[in-house]
Amino acid sequence: MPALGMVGREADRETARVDQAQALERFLAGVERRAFRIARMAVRDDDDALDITQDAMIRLARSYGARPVEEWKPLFYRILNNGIRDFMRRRRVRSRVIAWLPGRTSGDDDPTDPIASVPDPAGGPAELLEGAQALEALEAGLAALPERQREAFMLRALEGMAVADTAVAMGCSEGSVKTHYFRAVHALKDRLGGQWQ
Amino acid sequence: MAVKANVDEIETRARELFDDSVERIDGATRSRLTQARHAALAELDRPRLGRGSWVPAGVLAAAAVLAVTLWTGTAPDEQLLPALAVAPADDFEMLANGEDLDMLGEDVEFYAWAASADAGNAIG
Repeated sequence: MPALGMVGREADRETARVDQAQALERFLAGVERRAFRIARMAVRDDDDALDITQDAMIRLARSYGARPVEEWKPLFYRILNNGIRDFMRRRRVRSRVIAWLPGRTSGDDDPTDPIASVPDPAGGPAELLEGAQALEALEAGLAALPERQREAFMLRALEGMAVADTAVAMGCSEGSVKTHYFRAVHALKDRLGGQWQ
Repeated sequence: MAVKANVDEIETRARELFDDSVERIDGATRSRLTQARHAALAELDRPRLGRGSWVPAGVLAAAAVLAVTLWTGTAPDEQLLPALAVAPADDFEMLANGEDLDMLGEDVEFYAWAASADAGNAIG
């Protein structure tokens, strides 16, 4: 009965493939909005953040879609982090070129629009205004942090990832994560402590 | 003790603001994220190259040559191009940094996949 055995194995593979696809869809649906907001807070532009998030989702599916589900989260955030870092570096080089061109200033390409960076309002005006201002202060505080400290704070405090998973996502040791996070949270405390009283 | 409380407060407040901003993402952005998810899921059905492909090695070699060229041959005169003078060092650092080589590895997979997709399109 070799033919029937082959059909059975083929059916098993197809079932496993469908299960994996459904698991990946659930995973992506669970992280995509938070990932977008993390990218948005880092690059401060909706379209760029969407591109980075989509790219991370595609790379995860393409390169790690067959890996165990429990590995996806740190891998996904590692890809997302790399995407953000790569984008920021390209932006820095571009702004240097623009600054060097005659008749242009780097401010022409300034992506940090304080109005555009406030989320769409959808509730009571006073509360939303206060929340939007606090969020803007947080985003400005995060933008002022060194890259690695910002990554550590976003992954640990905002995304709630464990130290070990954050270390995978950042591609460094757990000790480095703790150091970056400690410095980040104290820098934010110094900057935001007064504003958030 | 007060410092610890203050730190906890910062973490909690930041988390609340972040969660709130996630909840208030507008419909158009949610829709684009859904489309992005579907595009990612479509990747599962795409054929992939084997790990032994020659393309990654070739691309890595080209990247190494490019890094050396940037580092040794074409660094601009700082007086003439002050704004650009540090860019090659950054590029070299990016390639030399172990963490970013992982990113390069992902790109290599992408280039290999893109090359195979192009070849498939040309045939079809």
